Amino acid sequence: MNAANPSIQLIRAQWLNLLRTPAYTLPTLLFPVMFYVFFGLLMLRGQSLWLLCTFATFGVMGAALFSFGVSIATERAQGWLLLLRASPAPVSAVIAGKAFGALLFAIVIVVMMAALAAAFGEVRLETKQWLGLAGVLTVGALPFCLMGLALGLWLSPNAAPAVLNLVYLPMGFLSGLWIPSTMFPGWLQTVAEWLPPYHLAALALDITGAKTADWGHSLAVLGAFGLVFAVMTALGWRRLAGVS
Amino acid sequence: MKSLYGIIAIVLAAIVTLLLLPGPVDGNRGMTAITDVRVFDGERMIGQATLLISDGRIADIGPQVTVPEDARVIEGRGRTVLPGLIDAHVHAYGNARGDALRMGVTTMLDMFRAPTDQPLIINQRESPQPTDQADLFSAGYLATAEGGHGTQYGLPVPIPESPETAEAWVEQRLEEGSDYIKIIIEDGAGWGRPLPTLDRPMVEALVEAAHAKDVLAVAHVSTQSAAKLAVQAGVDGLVHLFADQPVDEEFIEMARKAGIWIVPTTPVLAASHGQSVPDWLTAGDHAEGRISQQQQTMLAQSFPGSGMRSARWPVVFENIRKLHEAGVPLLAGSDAGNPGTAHGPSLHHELALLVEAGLTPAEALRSATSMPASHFDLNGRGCLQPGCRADLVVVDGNPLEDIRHTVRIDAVWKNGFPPGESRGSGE
Repeated sequence: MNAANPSIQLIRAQWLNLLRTPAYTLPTLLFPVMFYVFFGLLMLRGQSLWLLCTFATFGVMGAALFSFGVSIATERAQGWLLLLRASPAPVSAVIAGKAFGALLFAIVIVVMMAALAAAFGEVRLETKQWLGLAGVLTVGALPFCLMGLALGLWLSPNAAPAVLNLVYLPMGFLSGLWIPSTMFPGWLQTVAEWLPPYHLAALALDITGAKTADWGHSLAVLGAFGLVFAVMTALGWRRLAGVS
Repeated sequence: MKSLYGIIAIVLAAIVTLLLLPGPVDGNRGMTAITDVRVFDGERMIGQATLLISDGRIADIGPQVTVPEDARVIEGRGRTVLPGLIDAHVHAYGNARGDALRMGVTTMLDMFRAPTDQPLIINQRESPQPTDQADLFSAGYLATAEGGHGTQYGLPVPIPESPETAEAWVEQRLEEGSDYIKIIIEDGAGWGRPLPTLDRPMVEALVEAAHAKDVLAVAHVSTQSAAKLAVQAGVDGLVHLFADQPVDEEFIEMARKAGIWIVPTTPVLAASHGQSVPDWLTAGDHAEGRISQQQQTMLAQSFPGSGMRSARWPVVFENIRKLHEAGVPLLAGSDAGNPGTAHGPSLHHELALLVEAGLTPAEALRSATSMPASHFDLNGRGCLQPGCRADLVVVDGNPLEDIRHTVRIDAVWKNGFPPGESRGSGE
């Protein structure tokens, strides 16, 4: 292993960053888990499996949006990104560092929720389903990482947290992550089917056997969504010099 | 590189946790075998067989089934296994779904309730998760006239105003999640209390609107004339048997030609015609633990003026017998939720009453399993074939010899588990 590899170094830096800012790390991890405990385990008993899938999607999406969005906006304003760009570290290493943090959060959130669901919600799944659920949600965090990244590159550091919350909470709710979208009125269900978190949750629901999904369709929506923000990220990166 | 170890430790801990999370049934990959048991598969008695359950479904069934080594084995000798029973006429509120399941009713067709939780109900019946609640299909709000039957319960009922608005009315129900459309044709003549009712053009428009949307249209009737109107309007079935008159040749001919089915709801007719619930149903070993005190109270009630109508009671049996002999399909239903009935026990009462009226026990069992499943298009219910849902009732004895054996419940299974078993430690 090459210790000088910039990706590894930036991942390491991100790790230290997370360890040294528990005031950020712990709430980000515990907030969605707390929601699941309230809604999935205490209030709507009998829906524990369904809500495990949707709240885990909610948590993973939040971790991805916030670890990218807010920090990128701040670091950009501080000139840190510009400095990184001038350094020999490739863009991919900068992104890898952040993505690593988001994916680590995703795994921890899914596993914590899964353990609670098994212990208190009587959720029982095959080992391959438990692994599949964690796997699909972790990988599924990537398009949301891109979204966070793009927004972070385009938003001012003051606006970023507010705008991200304005995107995160309504999109989560409208995608049926808090209340199953099957309980929505018809027109709202149609809205849900256009939102990316709905499709990530659909894959999770399929894996656990709660509801079958059209994998091709859902993957296409998530892919297209990721692509849009990949382009926005590329444009935002180019414009970096001009802003600072 | 200390931080790298920290990262690896977290990821490993996550994977180990996932590997340690519990599977569907601890130790044996969810396979359960009920061996050497008498099987009624929804159509007929197939004799001694072994039943294999996996993932909430029947994996295999037959006399030659090999039991996997790691399967959990339940000895079934001396017992009979039936598909989970279907009650084709209930009003589900309060504890109805839990009460019904304790007595082996695993699916209920509701014929009028507020649809506010309908989406949740749909989620739950589609879920393969173990549950202690019977699955529910529902008409949601019923179609009745202003001030007509159905408006007396204090639930706000949307009234279809005119035949022109029938389509919109039906669409609204489907939007709320209704599984079929229930239409009230009730002028009160059979009960000595005149009531406003929907007229023929309105009924026809509602039936047409339902069929245009590809859902069933079912009718509440209590008189032969209303039943004829319903059949002429094109309904798919009647959710009560009328007892105001002996069924006549004209009606039998109409019913056969139209291919309609009838849910006799004999238990509610008993409660409204001065009949009390028999002891074998309310006492006995099954009663303790399966019938609650509240249900016993319901079963002991009757309708006001019920005794005065007892002279009409033999007509009920006569009509059931005639319609059955003419080949009109009868679907078992209790109308539980009403006085003199209870969710669960009353379906067993219905089966016994149907046999008393002239059906064979096998025919009665079909009326609560394969027949409602086929007429309401309930996939995987009311059957015990590979692929069917693992909803079943295991009873001591043989209901084909004595239909009353259906209450001798040894175990109920829903989605592959006895209710409550998935909760505690297992056995």
